[in-house]
Amino acid sequence: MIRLEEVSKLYGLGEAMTLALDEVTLSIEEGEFVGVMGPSGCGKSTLMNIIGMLDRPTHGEYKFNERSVAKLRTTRQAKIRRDSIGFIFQSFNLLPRLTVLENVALPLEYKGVSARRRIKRASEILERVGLRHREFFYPGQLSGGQAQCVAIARALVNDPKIIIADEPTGNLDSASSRLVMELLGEIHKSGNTVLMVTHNPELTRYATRVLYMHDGSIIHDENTKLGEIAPVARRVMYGKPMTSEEDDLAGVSALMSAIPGADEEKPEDTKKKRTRKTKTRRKTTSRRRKVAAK
Amino acid sequence: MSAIVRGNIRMAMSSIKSTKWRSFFTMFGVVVAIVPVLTILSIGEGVKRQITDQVVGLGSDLLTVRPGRLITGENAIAQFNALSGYTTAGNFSLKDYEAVQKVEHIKELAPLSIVPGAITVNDKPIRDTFVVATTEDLPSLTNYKVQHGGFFTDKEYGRRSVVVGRGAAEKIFGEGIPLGRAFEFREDTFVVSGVLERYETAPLSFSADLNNAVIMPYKLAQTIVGGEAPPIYEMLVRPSSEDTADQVRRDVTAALRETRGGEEDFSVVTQAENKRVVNRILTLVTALVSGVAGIALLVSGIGVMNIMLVSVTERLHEIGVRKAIGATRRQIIGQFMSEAIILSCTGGVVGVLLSFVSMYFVRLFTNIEAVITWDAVLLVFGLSLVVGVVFGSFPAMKAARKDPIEALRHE
Repeated sequence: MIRLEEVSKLYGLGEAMTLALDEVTLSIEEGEFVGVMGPSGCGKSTLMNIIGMLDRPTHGEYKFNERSVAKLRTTRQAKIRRDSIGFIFQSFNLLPRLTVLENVALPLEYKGVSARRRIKRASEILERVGLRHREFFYPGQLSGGQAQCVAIARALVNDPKIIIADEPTGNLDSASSRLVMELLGEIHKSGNTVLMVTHNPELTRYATRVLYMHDGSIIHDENTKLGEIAPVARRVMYGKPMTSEEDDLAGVSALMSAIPGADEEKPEDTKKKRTRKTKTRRKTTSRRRKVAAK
Repeated sequence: MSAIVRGNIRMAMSSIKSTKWRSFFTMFGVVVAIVPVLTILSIGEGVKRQITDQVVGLGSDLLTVRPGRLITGENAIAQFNALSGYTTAGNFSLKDYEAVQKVEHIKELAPLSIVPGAITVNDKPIRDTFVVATTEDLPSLTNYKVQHGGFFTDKEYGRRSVVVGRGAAEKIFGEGIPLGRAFEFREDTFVVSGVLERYETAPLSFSADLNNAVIMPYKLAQTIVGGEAPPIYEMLVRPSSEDTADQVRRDVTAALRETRGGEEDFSVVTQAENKRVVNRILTLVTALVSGVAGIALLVSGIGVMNIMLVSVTERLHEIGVRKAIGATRRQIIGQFMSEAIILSCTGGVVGVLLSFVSMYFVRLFTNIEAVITWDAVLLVFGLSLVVGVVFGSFPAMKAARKDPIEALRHE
């Protein structure tokens, strides 16, 4: 249902130009739970945004349900976002001035559903995520986990085929993360396609397929069994290869070293990576270390 | 009302509530523009009605003879002459009056003349009153009614009895009915034999306000002034019937031209013409004020636009979220347009309400009976709606054209 053919995305101009996606070719079928992993700045979010029609590719072709997205009018794209795609963001992105119920019902409002049916449907969905009793709260009054569940309810309210989750557990503690992931797993089991960006290899348990990205390219694509951590991701968690100081400077993460065959690309990668900021690199590496320590 | 429109209104209300002061001042700009427009329109309408009432009351056959020429040309407005209405005025002499008296088919005739001098009671001068000399025909010519006592007759002018207006009665004698009481004028004593009913003259009309006047027979005035008769500033003439009206008008004109040395430096006007002159003045004033108010409305519209632009910038992230969950451009436009329209229309409603208050003050301090018509209310409300639509559309379009991902990144 989703086909990307040599899709590239460039940001900026001239000297400041960065390549966020580098000729990515990808196809995702209905019913898959795709986990996307990779260091920060590798283009995971850009990929999600392009698939979610929030962003346009600079080059290449994106076909959604066999139709070229570039040729769709903005209104049509908005309607696809409304009816077929549900977004879940790391920072929840609930509207603070609307109640939980209103937030969840908003996509229905844009669809033109009557107020009574809107409330009924939104309540049902909130029931499903276990937050019926928080209907009239404002997002500011919820815990992170609750807010993310509300965001999931909002994403689900129009029965979309695809759920796009960009680090849905990034801002949550482990208990809330578990809750959110169980919900996403359930959604997947009921037949939806789920795309999820994550930094946590543990979460690949829920996926049926894991993509590893680096510098705007998909460098590894593997199918995994539900309930099992993806093989490559597991190697990151339990395997020996920790990143060395040298690797750190070169911006190569543990994940990279864990991927078989990635070694050959390494010298080339290093050159590219040198232009990146050291700061982000440090952050990612330390986070990975923490994960590894678990 | 569709679900989206209602949602937009609800969102707009909550957004306005969250920026109370900002919204209040934006609205205030609209109010400031609306109130003068509606006030001036209402004053104009009120004055027109009062003049019409007066014309109907006086009877359309009444002729007013005044010194000076009336400009009746259609381009009086363009020349900005409507405000003067009459060119340099002079006076009529006794000779003119006597000439008019000789004209046939006149039923009633009253000269109006101000007798110079101050009124005193027990050597205390009374201010703001004046003495008018006229004939016994005045009450029926002007619809003045005598409330107490009776009007004087021309034959009995030697009795030195006068009639006072209601306002003058209060100023000279204080409370109570001053029938039979006396006052001094030009070293002579006069006795009040009648008191007029309170009478409101229409604003901007050319007839004198006799509320504050002491009225005495013209013949009496002639004797007390001595020598030259007091100059006449206006003569009221009523022809004997509708059929003779034109003839009387011609004859009066001819008679006066003769006594004034062949020059037509006076005018004989019907009530309809009087009304037209007043209307012309009103139209001019209304046009001028509307122009100023239009600029005020434009400025208030720019205020609305600025605030909406700020609002759009502040809420870029929200716009991004809304777009991500499926709001179309049109729906985003709808949301911001509703906000602008609610702002300007609330301003419109408040403006209309405040105009009623200002109307009350106009009524309190002037003799203008301003009338707020539904037409005027609809007009100003429509104007505020237009301001909202016109000045809200640019920010709304700006919001709708934002790229969803760029808007989302904006925190």
